[in-house]
Amino acid sequence: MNYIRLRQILFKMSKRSLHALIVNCLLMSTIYADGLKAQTSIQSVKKASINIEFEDFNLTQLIGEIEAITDYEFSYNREDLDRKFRFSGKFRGTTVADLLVETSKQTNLKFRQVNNIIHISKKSTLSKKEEALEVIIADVEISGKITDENGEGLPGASVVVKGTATGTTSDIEGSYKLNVPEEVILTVSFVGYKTQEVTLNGRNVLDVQMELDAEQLEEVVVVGYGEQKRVNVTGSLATVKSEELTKTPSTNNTAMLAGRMPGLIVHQTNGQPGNDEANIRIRGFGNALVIVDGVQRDFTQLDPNEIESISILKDAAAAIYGSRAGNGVILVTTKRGIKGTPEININSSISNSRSTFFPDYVDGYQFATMYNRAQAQDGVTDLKYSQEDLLKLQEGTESGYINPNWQKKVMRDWAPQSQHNLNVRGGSDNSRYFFSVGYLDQGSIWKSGDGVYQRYNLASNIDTDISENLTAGLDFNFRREDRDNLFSQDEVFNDLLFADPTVDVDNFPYTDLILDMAPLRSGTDNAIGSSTQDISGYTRSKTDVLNVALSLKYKLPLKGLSIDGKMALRSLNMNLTKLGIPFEVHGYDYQSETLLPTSTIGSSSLTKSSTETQRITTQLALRYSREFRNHKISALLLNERINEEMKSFQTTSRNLLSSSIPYLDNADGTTATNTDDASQDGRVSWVGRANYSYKGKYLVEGTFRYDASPRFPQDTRWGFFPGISLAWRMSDEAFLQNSNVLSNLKLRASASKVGNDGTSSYNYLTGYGVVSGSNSTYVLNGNSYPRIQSTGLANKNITWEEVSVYNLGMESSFFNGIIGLEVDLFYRKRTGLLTTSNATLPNTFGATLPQQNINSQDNRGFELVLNHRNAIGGFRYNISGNVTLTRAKWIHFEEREFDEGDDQRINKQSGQWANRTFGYLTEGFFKSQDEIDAATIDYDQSGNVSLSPGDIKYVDTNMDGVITGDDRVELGKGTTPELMFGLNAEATFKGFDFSMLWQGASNYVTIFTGANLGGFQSGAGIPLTYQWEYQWNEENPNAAKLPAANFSGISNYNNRQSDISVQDATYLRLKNVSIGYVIPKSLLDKVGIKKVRVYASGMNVFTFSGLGIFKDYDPEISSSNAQSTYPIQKTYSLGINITL
Amino acid sequence: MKKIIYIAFGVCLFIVGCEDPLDKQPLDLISEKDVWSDEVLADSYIANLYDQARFFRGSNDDNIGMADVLNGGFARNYATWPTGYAHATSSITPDIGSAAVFHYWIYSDIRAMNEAIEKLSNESSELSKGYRDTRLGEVYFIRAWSYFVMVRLYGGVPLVDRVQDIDEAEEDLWIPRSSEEEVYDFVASDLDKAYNLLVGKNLNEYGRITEWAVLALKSRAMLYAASVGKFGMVQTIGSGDLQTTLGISDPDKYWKLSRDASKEIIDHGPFELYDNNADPAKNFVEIFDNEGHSEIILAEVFTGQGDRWNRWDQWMWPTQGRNGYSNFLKSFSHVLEKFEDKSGNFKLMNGSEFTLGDPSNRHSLDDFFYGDRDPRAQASFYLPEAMWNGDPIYVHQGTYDMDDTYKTGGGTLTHPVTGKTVPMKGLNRDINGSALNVRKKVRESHDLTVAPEGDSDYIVFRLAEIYLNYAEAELYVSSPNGDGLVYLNKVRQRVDMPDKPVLTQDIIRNERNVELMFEGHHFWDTRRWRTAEAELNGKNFQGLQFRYHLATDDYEIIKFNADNKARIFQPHYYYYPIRSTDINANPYLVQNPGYIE
Repeated sequence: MNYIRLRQILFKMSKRSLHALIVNCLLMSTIYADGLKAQTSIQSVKKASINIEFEDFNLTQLIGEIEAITDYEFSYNREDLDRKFRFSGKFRGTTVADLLVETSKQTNLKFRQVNNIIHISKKSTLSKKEEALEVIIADVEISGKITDENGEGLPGASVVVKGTATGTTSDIEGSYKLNVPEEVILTVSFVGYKTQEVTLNGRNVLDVQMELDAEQLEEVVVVGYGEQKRVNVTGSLATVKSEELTKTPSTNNTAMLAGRMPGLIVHQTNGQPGNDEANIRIRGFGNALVIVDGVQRDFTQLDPNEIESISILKDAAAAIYGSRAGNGVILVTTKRGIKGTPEININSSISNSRSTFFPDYVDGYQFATMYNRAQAQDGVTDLKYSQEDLLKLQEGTESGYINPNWQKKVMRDWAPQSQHNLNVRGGSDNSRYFFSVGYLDQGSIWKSGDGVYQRYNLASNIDTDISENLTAGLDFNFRREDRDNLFSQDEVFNDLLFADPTVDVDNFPYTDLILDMAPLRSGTDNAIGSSTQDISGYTRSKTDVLNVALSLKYKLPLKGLSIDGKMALRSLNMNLTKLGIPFEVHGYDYQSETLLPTSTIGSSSLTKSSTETQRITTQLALRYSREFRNHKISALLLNERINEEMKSFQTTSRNLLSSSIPYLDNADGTTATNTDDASQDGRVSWVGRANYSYKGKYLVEGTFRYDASPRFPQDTRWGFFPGISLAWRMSDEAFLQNSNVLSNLKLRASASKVGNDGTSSYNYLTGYGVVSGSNSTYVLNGNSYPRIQSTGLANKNITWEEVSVYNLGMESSFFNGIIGLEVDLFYRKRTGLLTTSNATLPNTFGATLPQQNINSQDNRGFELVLNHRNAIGGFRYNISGNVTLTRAKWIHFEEREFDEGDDQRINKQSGQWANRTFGYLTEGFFKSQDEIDAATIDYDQSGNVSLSPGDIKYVDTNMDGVITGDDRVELGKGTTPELMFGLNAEATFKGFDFSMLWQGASNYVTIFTGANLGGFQSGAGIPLTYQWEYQWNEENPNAAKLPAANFSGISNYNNRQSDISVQDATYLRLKNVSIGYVIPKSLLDKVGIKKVRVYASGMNVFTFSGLGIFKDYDPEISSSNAQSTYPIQKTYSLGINITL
Repeated sequence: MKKIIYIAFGVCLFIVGCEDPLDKQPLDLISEKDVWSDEVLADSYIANLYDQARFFRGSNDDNIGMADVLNGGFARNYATWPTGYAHATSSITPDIGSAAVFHYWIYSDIRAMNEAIEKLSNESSELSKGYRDTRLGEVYFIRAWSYFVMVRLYGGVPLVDRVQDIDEAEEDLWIPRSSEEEVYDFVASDLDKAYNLLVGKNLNEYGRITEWAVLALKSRAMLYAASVGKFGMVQTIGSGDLQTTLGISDPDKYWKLSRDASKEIIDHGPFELYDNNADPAKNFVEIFDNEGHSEIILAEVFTGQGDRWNRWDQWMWPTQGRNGYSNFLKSFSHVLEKFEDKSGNFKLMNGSEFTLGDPSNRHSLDDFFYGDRDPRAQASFYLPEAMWNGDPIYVHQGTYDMDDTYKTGGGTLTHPVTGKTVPMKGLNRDINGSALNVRKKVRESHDLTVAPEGDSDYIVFRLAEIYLNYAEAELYVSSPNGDGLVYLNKVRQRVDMPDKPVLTQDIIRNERNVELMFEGHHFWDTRRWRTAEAELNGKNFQGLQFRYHLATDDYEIIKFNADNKARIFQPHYYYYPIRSTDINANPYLVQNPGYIE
């Protein structure tokens, strides 16, 4: 009887739950594409309800009954069951657990559920506190498919167990598999889609269809001293995520940012391994403050895999950094641990790089011809190269006349590079960790293989919850940079610049080094020697940078209130050894086939130097954040103190006994020169911020910072820097909420006053300092005196420049985020810029006036970002373009009084754009002496006596009959770009991903002078191929584009800045391109790997430039000094990303 | 709650425990008070002023250091980059840039000197009176030297004789140019002050300024003033308050001042001409090689160690120079021709119509270079086959073998009878530029393979100059003592050259050229004598090349055009322009005549 009742009850119960399941499934039909699949699941006995009534059952009976009406099975040793025991009971609406606990009370038994099996054992006699019931439920494997709005599989979506780090990402088909505990909530997210949370409800197949999200409500961005949800941000801020930075390998985080964010002017001018950092100017301003994990620190040499995100603060958002915020702030956040099973990532790549541009020197025949022309230009009749020489050089077959290529002897086609990183991220209930180890090996363009840069990065960020309310964090970040450079890289470029292209270096019959004969300068060289460490020596430096931070965060009993403190140490140690080895070169006479005596290059010298800097930052903050119905408030009050110290010394001695023993005690001590330096700095700041929002629609943020710096005298040391910003999320208003077109619209406005304290320290003090540098001692009566001199006048009122920044912005997106548009307009006014006043003191005064806060300048500009994102079938793509324009004008520029007219037009800066380049207009070249003699204009202010045919004809723009500075006109803008643009396109299809980034700049010029124009002129080396092509000579008097070369250095005349030398440097560059493939998961499951992506990528692949005949120069370098600068590299890479 | 207190306490402690970030001092700043109460520190300040005087201009910057030689017309280097020659062939304009030879606007140094003068004159100073007076004398000398260097370049310049204060009244702050004469008088007056303070001081402190150095500068500076007066013209520049005068109206006054200063050194100074080696050529070399000898009135000391050295040796080395530095200065045929023979004749080369193979250009070493040519030629140039550290220097560009075939290969040739072996061609660097290379002041014993640092002292004043200054002033002064010729001949006697019978302008000038060649005088001499235009303008100087004849052991001397471009010297270049940047910044400055703004 009891039996029957029990079964009835049970049936009802299961019917109910089935019903519930169905209803549930219907309600969530958008989520479950396939919701009615048969389900079996494991339930905890604590949750499984039971209705049972029995009388006088023995244990075996009871077990049998439970097994019959539930899915549970029991396992036990018969001996453990007390046969005599009898049991009656009535359990209704209770759980199985209740029944088991009751049973345990009356017997000596305990129960342990493992999945659906309940194990019975005897209680231990020793422990009274032992639990009667233990439930262990193993993870269930669930699987499913994530699809996009069109029902297509969505690869790469993240599926995470809510509140943990347990999770996975969907494969190419959008499928995923995951082991989860019985009842969890899954969070499914994908960039550009609304994040969804779904409950398992006992199912083990769970498909989710995603919805496009216009607003990305949940995205959290880092702001000064904290973080905010992007929707709540009121200032102008741009962010790049780590995925973008690690998609293609890059040796330097700065160069990587070009074109990716609006408002950044990125300008790389050097490609040397370990020294290829780009200048970053936010909105074209000066050097920005860089903050990594809340403290001031550099980020260029961080392993990109350590970086979580990089944000730039452009307007009032930066104001919280007060006196250092005038040029904007770059915020870098490194990765931290997250709760969950460890995820191991391995990123590895190998690359080959070559120069984007490097000017080509003329060959031997061209050189000899040009040399003769230059001599002829000077009226020399006995030309250096005979017709016979020229012919032989042109043929290039006879020994001694074979055209060599010094560049090929010294530079290789490809420089190798490799980069590896392994990182682990995870966490348990109360501890989270991120560990990363990275290695970069970057080879040089030198054929010798020397000049290598190696970097080792180690990072460990650990967070621990000490108690429920107290969390501690320990950040450890170490990096070693090994620069194994040539003795003097400049010397190699210089040697190449002067290497005689008629010297048959390729067929030099000896193993020794050949003398390059340097026909154009005094000095003998050999670029092979100077580019090889074994021959000429080395400059080796080892830099150790350690960043350690300890932080504590405590939640105070008052809800929403917390206090946190941080102490961060940055320590840099640099040790350098520079060894100079003298070496011998030989001349060779090809006619007589004899080796000429040797010449020694370089000298034996040893330099050792050491630099040590330390910065300790402490922060103590009180934070409050609370929501009351429609009102949301948060506030921050923080105190920051910074102490800095720097010490360095350098010592050089000469004449080592042997260069194989590079120690100072092996050198001649009497030749020693030493320098020793130390400095210190500090700062104290009070920081505050308050945010208020009403219904999430009306947002306001106010910040202040009260800053003190010891660089300024006590009276002007403290400064107050406030900022305010407002935002209106217009799309949340009722009248727009249901718009089909507009999905998001936010308007922003901000105003702030910040500072810029970029002054050399202690300008308010004066005294005497020891002179350093060459001949810094003087010998009197046999005593060597160090020299001391005045440090100059002091300015007792010096203080920071004040900067007011105003910003108006609009963020919008349309058609559910298919199109996004963001526009910012800004205006910045800087007053109190430091300069020396020249209007008040004569230059016979004898002292450089101290810097004073005199000048003022304003900048204005706009930024625009336009996005388009869509998916067509399985093909999803994203195109984003950004443009930044910024221009500066001098409001007041301390300057002399100008005469009316040209003087004022050309020289006056006040009220003018800050970046103007003036120069002469030209109208070709003098074709003959007759033309010079007949000229009615006085070109050289000496009646044209110094002119020769082939010299430039300048335009007498003011028609006064003489060419003077007054004839100059504005030829272009400055040498830093005003306009910067980037276009980023990404697409994925099946397992493939493709991305490319175009980047460019405009509104700036490169100025070519001296050697670039003339060849053979003062300071010039071997001519370049474009000079061969375009230089004036008697055979091309009309086609020429460059003045004639000669040896007598009329450089002052032809070298003037003119429309020949000033060139528009606009460029467009394919900065990055990559194609990747994610290996299907089905192949990886067998080996237990979560994800593998292989890719090929290129950096700086093509460049279109506007430099005209100077097309051999990299427009980005924006310097005509390209033959002496390590060229920017284009890099091709193959790589693999593995997730374990 | 307890926990909170602990934590709050801990955190606060850890912040307060750190040092005060605002309590910072520059660590490398020495206070004014310390310097002017400690002789060692004050000496370091004065040492800086000595250095700023730049006696050997740019001792470490070779381009500048030789600019006066380059542009003086006696030599040029063959590289294209030194600015001296470049400027010798193009127009000089106020926006000449930083060409240092024409730019010497050193008011920051003047201020440092004025500051020292003020501090050392302070009677309440902790420094002893004796110390202060001696150093004050030295600083007055250095200030006089600095104004002298400026006045010979620009004519009159603003005279600043005190440390100006920013807050001074505008009319006190802005100082217009003084006349050229006023500046020379100021120099004289500073030197007189220095003399009075230095009498009997520093006499055994080699390198320090003595009363004799003061007189030597007076001898030289007043000679310059006098010659500007005699050979230049007086002109008015500027207008109104800024009006001033270029030129010297009363040369006789300065001839006298110069002559009397020279005479005082000659009569009472402890100096005598260096004459310790019987070989006059070697003796002449030793003047510059030996240090601290009786002829030196003032020298700038270079030790070759630590941080005190110059590069003259490195650049002038005859062959196989270290790092390829060698034979930097090439001289010209007309310069060698200034060295006469013992009969008082100039050994001239053929005229400008030079033909290769002309037998009249064949000369044996004795016939042309050595023999009876003034021994100072050997000490000033690397003549062919000059002995250098035991080996002859060859400078010929090729050799005619016994059969008269011309060979320029890398081997050697031997005369079948005499056994004389010569290389087919010399190893002189850039042999085609001009094979006449400057040798003066190069220290033969300097081992360049060990160190590039030159340790030869630079002689600022030596007695021979004073003798020649004296002779020159004697020629022109209204009331001569009549013994000018005696001292000119003393200079000649030392090198075994016959006495000159009379004192003439040409004789004095040639003697000066030959005796003081490449010592930084000629450039300024041609300007104060106002001969630069005649000597330089429109000239292409002729270089020398040599071809050796093995059979006859003689050289064919080839004259060729070594200056690519004609030199330009316009009459207004006697006063160099004040740079545009300087003049634009100061409305009280009047530009020198002839320069277009």
